[in-house]
Amino acid sequence: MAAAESVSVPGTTAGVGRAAAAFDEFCRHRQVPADARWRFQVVLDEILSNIVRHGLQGCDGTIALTFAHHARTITVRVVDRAPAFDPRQAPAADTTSPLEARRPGGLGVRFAESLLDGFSYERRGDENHVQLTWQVPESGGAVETTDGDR
Amino acid sequence: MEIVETREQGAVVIAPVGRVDSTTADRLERHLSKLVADGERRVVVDFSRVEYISSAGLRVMLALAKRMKDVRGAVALCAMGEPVRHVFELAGFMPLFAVDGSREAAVRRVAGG
Repeated sequence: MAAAESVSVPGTTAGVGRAAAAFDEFCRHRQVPADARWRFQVVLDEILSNIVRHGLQGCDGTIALTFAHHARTITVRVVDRAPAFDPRQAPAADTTSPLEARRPGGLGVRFAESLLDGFSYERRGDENHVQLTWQVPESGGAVETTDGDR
Repeated sequence: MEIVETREQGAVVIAPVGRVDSTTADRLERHLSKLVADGERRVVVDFSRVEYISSAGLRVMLALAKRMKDVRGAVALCAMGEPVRHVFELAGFMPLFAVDGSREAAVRRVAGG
């Protein structure tokens, strides 16, 4: 059974929170396993906060998200109208320096490539399109059914 | 996200509840910064009620570790669920922190016992 939902949020930190809440709601309605939920939430937080901080840079803008769950595949598409930016080309994160020299940042690509199965980017006209996918393992997983304290 | 603060054996234990992401990390950072500024030198962060942490939350943990090192304090993390542990491992953060399975062990560690 295919199931998809779309939501548009402002390109602000509050908008990032609204997107996370909308994805939570989608997961509850569509019985998406909890394992999928946290993986997407971690990656979405990176992708969306980067759009807000670096893409839109304080400009007014809207970010459109589409969530889909078909068979065992979960797909999230993120569309914005910031200047062209392929998040896969961001500099690699520092994951080995000692504490004193460690610099945060650049973890988005690493998280997306490690936590999910698919991470693609396309520039279409004046839009950035990022697509994230994950296949729920055959063993399934616990389904998110309760409302938690967010 | 709620932040629960308790005191055990001379240590302050901070337990965030919910998600630690770009929408909540600032609040946690302010809370931890104030603790250190107020003179706390033994800090435990209990992750048992954290759903997940994004890189915004990792930045807060990195800043805490650096500050505690600067002031010769002790910090330990504990009770990480799989989502939190997985993200710490992917970021290469595990070697930067003392991480214990239980809150009791983390309190003992920072209390020097």
